[in-house]
Amino acid sequence: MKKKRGFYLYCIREKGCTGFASEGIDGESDTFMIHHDNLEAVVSGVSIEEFKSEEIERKSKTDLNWIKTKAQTHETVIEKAMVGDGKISAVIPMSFGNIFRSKKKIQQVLEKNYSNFRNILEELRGKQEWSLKVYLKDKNKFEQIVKEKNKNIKEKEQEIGSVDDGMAFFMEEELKELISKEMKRELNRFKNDLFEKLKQQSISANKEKILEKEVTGKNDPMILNTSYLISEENIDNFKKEAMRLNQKITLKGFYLEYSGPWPPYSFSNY
Amino acid sequence: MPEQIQRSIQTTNLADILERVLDKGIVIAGDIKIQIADIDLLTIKIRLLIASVDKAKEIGINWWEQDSYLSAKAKDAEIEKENKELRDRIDNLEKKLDEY
Repeated sequence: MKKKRGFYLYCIREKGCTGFASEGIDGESDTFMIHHDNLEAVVSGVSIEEFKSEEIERKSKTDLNWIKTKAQTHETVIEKAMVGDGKISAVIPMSFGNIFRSKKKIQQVLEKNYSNFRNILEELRGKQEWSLKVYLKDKNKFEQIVKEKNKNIKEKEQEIGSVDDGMAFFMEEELKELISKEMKRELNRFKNDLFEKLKQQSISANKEKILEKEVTGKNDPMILNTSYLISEENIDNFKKEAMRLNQKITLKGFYLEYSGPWPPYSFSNY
Repeated sequence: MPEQIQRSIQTTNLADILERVLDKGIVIAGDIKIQIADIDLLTIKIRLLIASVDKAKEIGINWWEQDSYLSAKAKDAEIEKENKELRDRIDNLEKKLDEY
């Protein structure tokens, strides 16, 4: 009996892009294109048995390496579809696991959403997605800076110095609370300021979910996770601004990391 | 300040990829619906990284060194740097695991 096959959809782009990854997500089937008019979908064949919902769910519980590997292949195929002849083409990246029973179904998707996809690609042309994350490296340093420049904290400290020990004990507690509150406030201002400055270098900008240490694998907590859609001509300016800001925030106990270009996962909603 | 500059150009990591591939991108009503939405993706990612460390320990190799994805990667920084970063990350995770 012949095993049931499906088609895994990676991304949609304009015809004529040259970038191409041969190996598909199942590790054996080659990727290929399905056309409609001047749009094309990058796809590859998969076994429905391997990629059906129950199976993925089972793997997410028992075999996470499988998901890790597949997610990476998904990303690789899209990146290769995005980069060709040394330049970056507009692509609409799909989320993990968009699978169809026939090529015809995918063609119908292209047909039905034709103008929508065209518009998104038009919007994305000449633009790149970049990611920028900020981490807190030295909490003491930051606390010191907040303490030094905050009037309320200074006043409280002076007050403590002028009262008797019993009173001072309670006021120490108040001071701790005050410091923690002011640090939070300062951190928020700091994050917004940084985000606004980088946003100015971009066409569109998003604040993303903060990832836990276990996910980032870093000792330092992430305090800001952002993504930007930037026009090609402005990438260098964005990087320069990021590096300038990094020098500045290092003095406060933070650092940032950026990466790109990414397929525009964060900016191709339709 | 070369160190700072280096740090700021560090490249993508697994978290970056999973964040995007599993959590973003367009979903079209395909024929097969993969429902991993009801499981917290973050939980998946955490377990994923822990699992990788376990596996590496268990079979005594560094999985990231054999990861063709990483060696094929051509983002904004060199692979070496990324490998070092990953090694540091794994070391950190191992330290954490040992604490349990």
